Amino acid sequence: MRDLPFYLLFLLLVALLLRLDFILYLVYVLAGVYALSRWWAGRAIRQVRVRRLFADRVFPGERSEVALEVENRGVLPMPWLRVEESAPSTLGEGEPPRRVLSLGPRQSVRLVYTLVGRRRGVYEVGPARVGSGDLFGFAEFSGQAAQADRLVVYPRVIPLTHVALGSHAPLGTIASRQPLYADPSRFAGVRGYRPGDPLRAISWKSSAHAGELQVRKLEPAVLLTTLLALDLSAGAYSRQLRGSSSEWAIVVAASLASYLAGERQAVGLAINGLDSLTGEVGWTAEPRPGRRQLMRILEQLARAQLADGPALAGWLPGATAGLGWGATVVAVSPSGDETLLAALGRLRRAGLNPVLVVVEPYGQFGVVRERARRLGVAAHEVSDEDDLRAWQRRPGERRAA
Amino acid sequence: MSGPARPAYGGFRDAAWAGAPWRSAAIVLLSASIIAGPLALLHAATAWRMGYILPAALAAAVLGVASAARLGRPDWRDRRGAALRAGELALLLVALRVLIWATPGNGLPAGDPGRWLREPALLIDAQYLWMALLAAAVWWFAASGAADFQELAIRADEVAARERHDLTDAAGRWRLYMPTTRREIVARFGGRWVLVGTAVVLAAALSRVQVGVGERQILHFALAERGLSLPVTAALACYFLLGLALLGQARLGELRARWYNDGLAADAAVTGRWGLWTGLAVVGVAAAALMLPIGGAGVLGRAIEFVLALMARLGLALFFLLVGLLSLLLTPFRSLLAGTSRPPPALPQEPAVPTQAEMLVRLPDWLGGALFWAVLAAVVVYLGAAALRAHGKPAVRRGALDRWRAWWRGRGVRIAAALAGARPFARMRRVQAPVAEPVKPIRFRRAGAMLPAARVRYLYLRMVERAGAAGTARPPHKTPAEYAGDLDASWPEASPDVEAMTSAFEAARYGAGEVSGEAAAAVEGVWRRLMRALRGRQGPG
Repeated sequence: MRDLPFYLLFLLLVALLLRLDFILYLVYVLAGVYALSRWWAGRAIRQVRVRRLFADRVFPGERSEVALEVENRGVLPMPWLRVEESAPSTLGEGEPPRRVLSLGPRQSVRLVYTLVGRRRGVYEVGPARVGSGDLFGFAEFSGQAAQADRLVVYPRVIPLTHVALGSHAPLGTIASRQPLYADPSRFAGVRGYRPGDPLRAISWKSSAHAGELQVRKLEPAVLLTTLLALDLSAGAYSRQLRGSSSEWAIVVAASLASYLAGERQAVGLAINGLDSLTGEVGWTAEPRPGRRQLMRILEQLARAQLADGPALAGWLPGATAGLGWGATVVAVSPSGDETLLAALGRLRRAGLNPVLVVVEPYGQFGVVRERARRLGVAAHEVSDEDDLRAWQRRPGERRAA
Repeated sequence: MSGPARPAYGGFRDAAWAGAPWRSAAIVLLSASIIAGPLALLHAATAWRMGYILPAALAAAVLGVASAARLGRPDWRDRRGAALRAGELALLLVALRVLIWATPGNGLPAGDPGRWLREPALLIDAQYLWMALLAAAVWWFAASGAADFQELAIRADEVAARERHDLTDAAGRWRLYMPTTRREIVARFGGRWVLVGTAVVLAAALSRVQVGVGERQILHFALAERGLSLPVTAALACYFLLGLALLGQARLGELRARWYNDGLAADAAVTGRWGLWTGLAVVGVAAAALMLPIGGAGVLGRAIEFVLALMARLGLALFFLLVGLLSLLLTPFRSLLAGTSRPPPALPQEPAVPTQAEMLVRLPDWLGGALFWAVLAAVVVYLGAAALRAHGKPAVRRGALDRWRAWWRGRGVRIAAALAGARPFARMRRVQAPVAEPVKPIRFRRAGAMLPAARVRYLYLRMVERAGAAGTARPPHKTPAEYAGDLDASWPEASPDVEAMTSAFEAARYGAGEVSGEAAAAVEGVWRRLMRALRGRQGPG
């Protein structure tokens, strides 16, 4: 029908030459339908607005209901509007909406679908594409109506109740077994005075009440300014377990971050992997306390991917350069090789408190632990959830048979 | 091999699209209205009585739409559409001839009946010729339009491809070869509508032109009157407004198939309100156009007329200038041409008187006419019978006619093969030689006396024949593998045997290796099982 204008011109000539009003009328009708169709379709599609409403952050297993609001803001009806939403197929519960609608003037339609946080990551939801046209095939328009949004699926967080992370910092909120680190802000009761007790430890009110000198008991505590150093260098992982072990390392890091933030500690994150959003390899988040920091860390863990980046041993000194004395550095790594232990030993000598968490199963982990002990580094093997249960029990609680 | 029964898509019909009666009615009206322009022209130029043409045109349009609708049905895919349509057209033209004669004022030519033999051209007078052309055009336009809408329907292979995503399945290979896209079909329909509309408008407009000879013997043209008659106006309005509405429907057909193939779900309101929106757009524009200053065309018309006259005069002046220049160039050669003398005019000769012997061997003057009538009757009967048979109404006994048709087709194939070769006559002799041997029907051959490969082919063809009799005929366009899919669908319990038979046939027919006697014997065992299974089945109907 591309030659319709020429046909109309020919009819116009015939009508004018032969003075046939009716043919002129036909020209008016055909030209009018042609022009109206093109104008209508072009104007109507510009009045379409598509909005996407959904919870853009979910934990694994949670559902996010995505509502796509398609609205015709114009006064012209839309005989047909093609709406195609795209969503990550791995998260979709069924197909995202791909519909052809008919919208009246100022009418809106809500298309709803559900995404399930099946797997950690940052996913693109959308874009939604729309297309429309006229009724006769003279014009067709299509375009992108709603930009792509991001859905963050946080890594799995396993609740921990007690994590054996020591610190040299004398003040803090995590109880410590070492009386050296008694925290004057953590009052634990009173006891009778013993010679040698400092005078400032005497509770004069309690002494007056009891009739003898009483001394305040303070709970020992540490402040864990902790940097979680997550090793996502692809070369560090064994080839067979690379996928599962790196995911487990992220789960361990997320669980530690959640635990420390729950204890109101300052937590930071350093990853030598790939940020799937920016394409950057190796980045650091300074330790800060608070829930907002935790969510930031979880989001960064959601974005993290394995990369052929620098080895953790070489990268760690730079990443920990800004940490204060006594801060804890938890290196979550697939293995505790010699170079990594040596790097952690250097951190120890620099006044930091390095802790090694090995996430790949290793038959001779005892050797690693012994070597780490000699360097003054605590080493833990957390290769599965059973290993993590040790941090889910209170001190002194025995493992179930 | 015997998995779950495959759904049969072969019989799929897009009933929601193809079964819309108002669309067929619109095509009939659209097609019948194309006679308005030529009829106005004939009315202005002749004094014929043409009151019969409107019902004839409507009947032709109905016939065209009905045959297109029938040929579009799944069980009619394998019919010979060309023969059916030729037969319908022949019957239509015969009926039109009778109708014209039956119309008062257009009776049979007077004279003795023998005159029909001597002058067979009495059959085709100018009026019949024009009306036959008009009726054929209406029939063609209706059949083409209806066929376009049939082609816009969703096809069985598209349903199969959407519902079966397993590309490793043989059925997945049914997918989607469409020689003409739906966009092209819509464009074809629109282009035809525009082209025929132009011709109709032009004819209607020319019917207002009066041609005459002026005082100085110069041909001149003038407008007889302004405007068109009411019936022609109504027919043109019908043609263009209905055409627009049908164009909208064709667009809907294109879109709904595209949406279906893209996996989009279309709301019922989209298709349900399509006709409403189309109608509102067309009627709204038509109503608005009524308010435009139509009568103001006079000044523009005169301007165009002036421009055209000026161009014509300039063209004539250029032509005379070129002729003058050419004559000047040829002046030096005039002396060469002057020597030639004209031959003397031939004297009128008396007509030759035939001798007695010539009189004895001269053919009777009615023989040519009789031959013409015989050939015409044979063609009409053959085409008519083919059309009726295609519609499922056998008009004559089949045996002799089938044999004659088979013989004629055989000649046609051999002639085509001979024409394709480098030595046509030698090739014809070579291919004609084995024809002398009588061809036995396939069921009378002895399988045991054949070579193994021929035996396998024979057994497969017997299976096809029996399966066809049981209701699962093999369409000519299907490969053995595709046909095996059909058999599996309607005959799942015999699926392994069908697969084995098909594989053996493909190896024997298309494979490069020899077929051993043992393999042929094994195939015969499979064939016997199949035949036993088939005996238990009921034939169609």
